[in-house]
Amino acid sequence: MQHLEYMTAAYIIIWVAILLYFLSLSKREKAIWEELRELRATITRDNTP
Amino acid sequence: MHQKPYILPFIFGILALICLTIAPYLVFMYAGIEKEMGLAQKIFYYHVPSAFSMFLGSFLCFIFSIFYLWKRDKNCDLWAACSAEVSLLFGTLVLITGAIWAKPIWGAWWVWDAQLTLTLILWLILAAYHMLHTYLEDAVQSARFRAVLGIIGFLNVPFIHYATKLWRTHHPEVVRGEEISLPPDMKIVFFFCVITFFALFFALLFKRVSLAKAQNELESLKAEI
Repeated sequence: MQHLEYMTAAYIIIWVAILLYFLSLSKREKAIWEELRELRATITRDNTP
Repeated sequence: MHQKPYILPFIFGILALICLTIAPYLVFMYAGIEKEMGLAQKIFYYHVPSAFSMFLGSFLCFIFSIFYLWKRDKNCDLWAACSAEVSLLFGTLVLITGAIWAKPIWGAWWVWDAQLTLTLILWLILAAYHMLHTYLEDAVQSARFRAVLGIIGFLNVPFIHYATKLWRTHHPEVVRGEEISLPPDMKIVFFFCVITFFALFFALLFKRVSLAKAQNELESLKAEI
């Protein structure tokens, strides 16, 4: 098992980096959609006579 | 009103997930172990597709940057910025995994070889692009500067690809023109990993675009109020 530690390190870094980026996008997207929903609700409420 | 564009990230996400499940089996069980490099050679299956994904991102950024400078369409700027960001992610992975491969094979984490240096330059251009996008407040000026940077960045890509032919380099030349110098089992796994990384690239790109569009919608809604 020559150079097993190098291969393991490379694969772990790739998976963790991609996973973290994906999670960060999901988190930011969720927060924005939540804010958009609240803003739309506020606009609708303000426009209701 | 803008609707959340679920379908494209979903399709590519599912495709990427399926490929990502199969790829490790092929890399570790199907492809043989290279005699001289040992297990370090297996880094190649994710390192090279990461580089191809970086090139793909740079190419998309180049195309959208040209269209932005021509049409002044904000949507082109949005796609260029998202392509550059995803490209930067894969570029970071290329440099890190390359260094991890180089240590046991060359005995050094980094050498100032033509291909490595040009890849670092592309990464720095993408990082500068990202910094301009994040920190420059004048949106029009930022988009114009970034478009130029996006075009310059991609012009570097052919030099990276042909660096092993143009200069004397340490970097192994696996892809020679249209020919790939690999045994059949390794070639199959390599192509599968390229497809996997392209699916992953597009899944992340569409997700990033969806986020950027939602951000724009939020800003315009706030401006209306």
